[in-house]
Amino acid sequence: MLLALTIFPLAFSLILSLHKWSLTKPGPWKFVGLLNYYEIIKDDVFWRIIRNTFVFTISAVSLQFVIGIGLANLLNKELRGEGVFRSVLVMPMMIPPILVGLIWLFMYKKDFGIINNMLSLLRIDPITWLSKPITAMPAIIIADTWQWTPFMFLLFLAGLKSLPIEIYESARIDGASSWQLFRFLTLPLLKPIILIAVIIRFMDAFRIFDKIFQLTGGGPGVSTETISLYIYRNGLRYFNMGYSTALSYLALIFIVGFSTIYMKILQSSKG
Amino acid sequence: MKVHRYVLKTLFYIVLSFVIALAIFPIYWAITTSFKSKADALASPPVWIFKPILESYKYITYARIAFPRYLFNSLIISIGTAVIAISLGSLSAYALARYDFKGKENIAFWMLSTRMMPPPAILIPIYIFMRTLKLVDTHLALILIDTIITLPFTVWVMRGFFEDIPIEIEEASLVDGCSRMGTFFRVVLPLSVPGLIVTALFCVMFSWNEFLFALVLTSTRAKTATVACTEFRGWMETAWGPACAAATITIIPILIITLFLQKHLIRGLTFGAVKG
Repeated sequence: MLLALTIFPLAFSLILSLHKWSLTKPGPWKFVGLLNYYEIIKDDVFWRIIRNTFVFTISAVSLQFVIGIGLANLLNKELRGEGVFRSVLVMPMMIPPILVGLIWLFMYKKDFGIINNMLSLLRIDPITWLSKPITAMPAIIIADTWQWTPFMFLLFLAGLKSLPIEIYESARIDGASSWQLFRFLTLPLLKPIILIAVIIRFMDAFRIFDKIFQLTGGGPGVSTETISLYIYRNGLRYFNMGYSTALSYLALIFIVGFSTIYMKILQSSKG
Repeated sequence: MKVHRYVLKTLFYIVLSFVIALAIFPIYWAITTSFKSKADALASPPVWIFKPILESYKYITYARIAFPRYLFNSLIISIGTAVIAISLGSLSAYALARYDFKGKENIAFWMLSTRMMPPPAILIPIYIFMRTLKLVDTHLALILIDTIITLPFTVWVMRGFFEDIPIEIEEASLVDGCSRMGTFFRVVLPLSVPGLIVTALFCVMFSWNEFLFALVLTSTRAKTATVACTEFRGWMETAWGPACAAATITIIPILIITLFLQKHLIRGLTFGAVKG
């Protein structure tokens, strides 16, 4: 049954992607072969959307990685009230992404938004965060980083706690600096966890929908539109079902690529 | 040396408080805004100290919008999802954990791969499917789709929990004349109740937070809380107080679940790949 439930939609959309069919205009499907794919690849908008998706995914994930691993190293100490600060830190990632979008939308508002108010204390003029192409994408990346850095942090902290402390002591006696410890001991030892964390985040960031839908709706223009929003807009706003499913298939190729890598890693870590 | 260490320690606590403040501030801001009057919510510079009022909560409960109904929809859908996913998932997970059969690992990884699928890729076929079956705007439609999405997760995480049970206990039960199924229901399931609860809570959380399918597959009767939260945008302005009130009510159950899941978060979030 599970097989049927997952295979059916895929097979169905593969067939549909070879047809022209619009929900608004009743009538039979028109077979067009690969025309949908051809139209997509020819369209400049598609390539801008692919670029947006990669810009978002790569910058958000790297930012989260750097902050996450930095914090994990910094806070890898015996602390009083560790449980409390951990539960506080994980809160952002448990909130529905759509509400993260809502809350940040409120904070980004030009006139009464708290972010511009804070900036005005530093004598920075109000910024219209979400209506300029230059700031809209960074604004989305910041909101996503707020939500998902805890994920990286939590995984890396767990990884760090599992490392044998003796190696560090002997390396320190041999005169290694903190940076060397990090570069030559921590990073290689954490490699499996780092890979898992980065790939999971990469796949999730690649298909981001909720936050952008709420914050900018893909605008201004198409400057923050990513592949998921594009599929949604074509399929369920313009009802170009064939075109939209063909898009899904192109997106699927990327995702299958990532997931194959991920599963290889997972398989090797399971031994 | 001693001064040096003291400075470092202070610095450490400053960073720590800063990080905590950053993590919690947006949530704090949304919650406080929900208790502000309309003028205070949109005040610039922002109002930090104010008299809490319930205006926004009145707005979303009986004055303007029936938000509790959407919460109730979310509740039905997430509990339905968790129940179905757990009942189907635990059986297959047990099979994967204890039986040896051909292509076992392939099945396991194929299940995992469905999780990697971008939701938009199946969005359109699912939408057409549900439309044909006249299931659009019913709870059942969302329960079905959320189950499909969470089932692989359930199988993977439950498998890990089952493998953690010492096999000797099961062998003892089999020796004492209990059947395989009997062993599963009388010995294995009771022992994995904590695991079952953890997995179910993850399913509930996923379903509660889900937005895209809820947006596409519901319109009025089965509309969920997350979808309703996005509908405070008016022609000219957004009703920010009520929007924050709705967000607060939607977030609180999730935060409570998070507290329960504390110890299992890592395991759940990585599909059991990392046992933290």
